[in-house]
Amino acid sequence: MPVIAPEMIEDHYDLVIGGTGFGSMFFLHGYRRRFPRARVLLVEWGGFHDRSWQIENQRNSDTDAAQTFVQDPDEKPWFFTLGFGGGTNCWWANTPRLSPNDFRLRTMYGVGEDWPISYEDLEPYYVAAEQIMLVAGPNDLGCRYPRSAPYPQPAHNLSSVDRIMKSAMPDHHFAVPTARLRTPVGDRGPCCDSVQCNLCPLDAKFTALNTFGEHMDAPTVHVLPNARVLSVELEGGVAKGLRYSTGGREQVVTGDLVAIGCNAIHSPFILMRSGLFHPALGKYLHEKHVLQFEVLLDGVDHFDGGIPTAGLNTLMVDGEHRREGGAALVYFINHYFRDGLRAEWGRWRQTLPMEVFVEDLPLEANKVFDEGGEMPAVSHPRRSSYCDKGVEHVIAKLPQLLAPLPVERIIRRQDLPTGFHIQGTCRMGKDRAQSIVDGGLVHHDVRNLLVLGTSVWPSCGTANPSLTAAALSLRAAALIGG
Amino acid sequence: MKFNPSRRNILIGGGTAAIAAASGASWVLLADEHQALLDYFKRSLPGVRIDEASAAECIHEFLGRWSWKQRRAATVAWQTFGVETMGTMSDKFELAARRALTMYLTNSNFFEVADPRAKTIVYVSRPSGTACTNPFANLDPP
Repeated sequence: MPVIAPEMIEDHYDLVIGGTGFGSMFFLHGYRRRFPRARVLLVEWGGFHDRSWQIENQRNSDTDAAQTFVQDPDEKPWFFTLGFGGGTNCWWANTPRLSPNDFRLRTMYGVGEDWPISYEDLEPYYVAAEQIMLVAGPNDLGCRYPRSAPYPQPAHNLSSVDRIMKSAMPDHHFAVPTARLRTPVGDRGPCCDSVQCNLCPLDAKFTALNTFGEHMDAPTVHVLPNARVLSVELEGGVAKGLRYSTGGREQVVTGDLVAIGCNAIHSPFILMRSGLFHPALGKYLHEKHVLQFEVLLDGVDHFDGGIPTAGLNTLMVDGEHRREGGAALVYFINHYFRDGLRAEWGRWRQTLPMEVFVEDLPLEANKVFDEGGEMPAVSHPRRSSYCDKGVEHVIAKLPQLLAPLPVERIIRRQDLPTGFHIQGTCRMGKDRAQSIVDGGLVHHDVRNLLVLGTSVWPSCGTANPSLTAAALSLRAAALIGG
Repeated sequence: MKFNPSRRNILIGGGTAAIAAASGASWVLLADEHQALLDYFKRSLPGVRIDEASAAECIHEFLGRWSWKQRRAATVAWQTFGVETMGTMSDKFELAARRALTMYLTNSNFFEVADPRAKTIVYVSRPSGTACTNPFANLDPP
C-alpha cells in the first residue's frame, strides 16, 4: 500500500508531483527508470480507491469533480476523475496516435499552431507507451501513423461492416488500437465487449492500478491522497515544492523537481495561484467536437466486432480540407446501447452507430481563470468556426465515406456535449511569449517545474489524447536533466 | 395500444395531461407506461410467446433508470399517441422505445434459440458488472 499519512511526509523529495493521471504516472514511470532510487511524492486531490472498491461501489471515485470548478451551467460541461490514477480509471482505452500533420498544422495548412516537437520526435515514446499499456492494434495502421515497432498485441476482431469497409478502403479503415487486452496478461483478462470500460469486469484495459504496481510498491514512492495542490512554492525563479491542503490544514512539501499534472482545469489555476502569470495561461481550453450518426443498413448485420469500438476510418483525418475546417476521425461503434437495435423483425442488427471527432481550434476566449474564489472558473462560450466548417465537411463527405455499405439512411443524432477530453490552457511552444512550457514540458521560466498531461496541447487533432499524453511524459522524463 | 389518432384518443390524452398537470402524482394511476411498453414489445414481436412476468421485470428495470419527469412525459405521450407514433415524431421517443426492446431482446433467450417463435421468450435480469454482454461479439482468438 503506497498511501502515506500526512504526518509521515518526508521533509524533502527528489520529485514531487501534483496529480496521478496519465501525464503524472507515465512521467513517474520514465523518471524512475532513470533514477530508480529517487524519492518521490505524489499528491492526489481524490482518494486512493483500488479496483475492488471501484467494482463494489460501481464508480471510480467518491470525489465529485463537478464541485471543483465553477462555470455557467448552460455552457459546455467538463468531466474528469479525481482519484488515484485519474483518467486511467474511467477511460475507454482507445489509443490512436495524433497524425504527423497534427504537429505542424500551421506549417502545412496555415491555421492554428505548430507543436514544438514533431511526430518523429514523439514516435519512440508512442511505442514505449503502447508497450507499457499493452495496446492491441493493427500494424497496417502504420501507413497513416508511421511506426517503428509492431503493436504489442494483435488487433481485435472487426465487425462485418468494418470488414466491408476494410475491403473497399484498405488504407483508410482499420481496427481500433486499444489498451484493452486481446490476449490475457497476468490478472488482466481479454476484452470481451462488456461495454463497461470505466469499470471493466475483467480489468482488460490499462489502468495505473493494474500496471504501475512496481512504483506503488516501491518504498521510495509515497502517495498522499485527499490532498489538494494549491500552488507551487517558488524562490528566486526556482520551484521549491508544492503547497497543498489536507484535513483542513495547509502544508508544504519540498522537492528538487516539481511537476504539475492536475488536468487542464486545475493545472493552470495552480500556476496562477503560484504567481506564474502569463498572457496565455489558462487560455485556449478546447477539445474535439463529437458528432453522432446512425446509419441504417440494408441487409448487413453489425455488432459482431470484438470490442465496443471496433473500427476507425481516417478518410478525413488529414488533407487540404484542413485549410478551411477541422479534420475528422470516424469511429464505427460496435455496441447497441446508444441507439438500440432496430425494431424491425429480422433487421435488428442492420444499423451502424458512428461517432465522429471533429478538430476544433483553440480560442483565446475559452479559458480557465481565477476570479478570486476557492475554485477555478471555466468559460467556454463557443467552439471555433473552423470546427463548424469541419462539421459541414463531415456531413458533405459522409455519403462518400459510407459508399461501400448498403446504406438506407444516414441519421444525424444528437451531438455529444463533450468528448471527455480537456485540453489546452498551459500550451507548449517554442516561443515563450506565446506558450507556457517547452517541448520537454518544462516551464519556460522555472526550469525545474514541469506541466504534465493534456493541458500542454496547443491543438487537439482528432485522436483520443491519453496515449499522446503518456508519450509526452515519457519523453519529458527521458529529457529531464539531459 | 395501436396508434389511432382519433379525436377520442386525443381527448383522452389531453385529459390525461390536464389531470397530470393538475394533480401531480395521482395521474400515474391513470396512465401506465409499463403496459404501453409491453404492448409495444408484443407488436414488435408478432407470433412470439412473451413471458409477461419477466418482460414486466425488464420494463421495470428499464424505466427505473428514468427520472419521474421523464416517465411522466413518456406516459402521457405513449398513452396518447402510441409508442410507435411518438417514435416517428421524436428521436428521443424512438430511441427510448428501441432501447427498451433491445434490453429485452439481448437479455433474454431471443437470440439464443433457433426459432424465437417456437419457444417462450424469457427475460433474465443481469446484474451490473456482468462481463461479455454483447451476444453478437466475435471473440475468436487471433
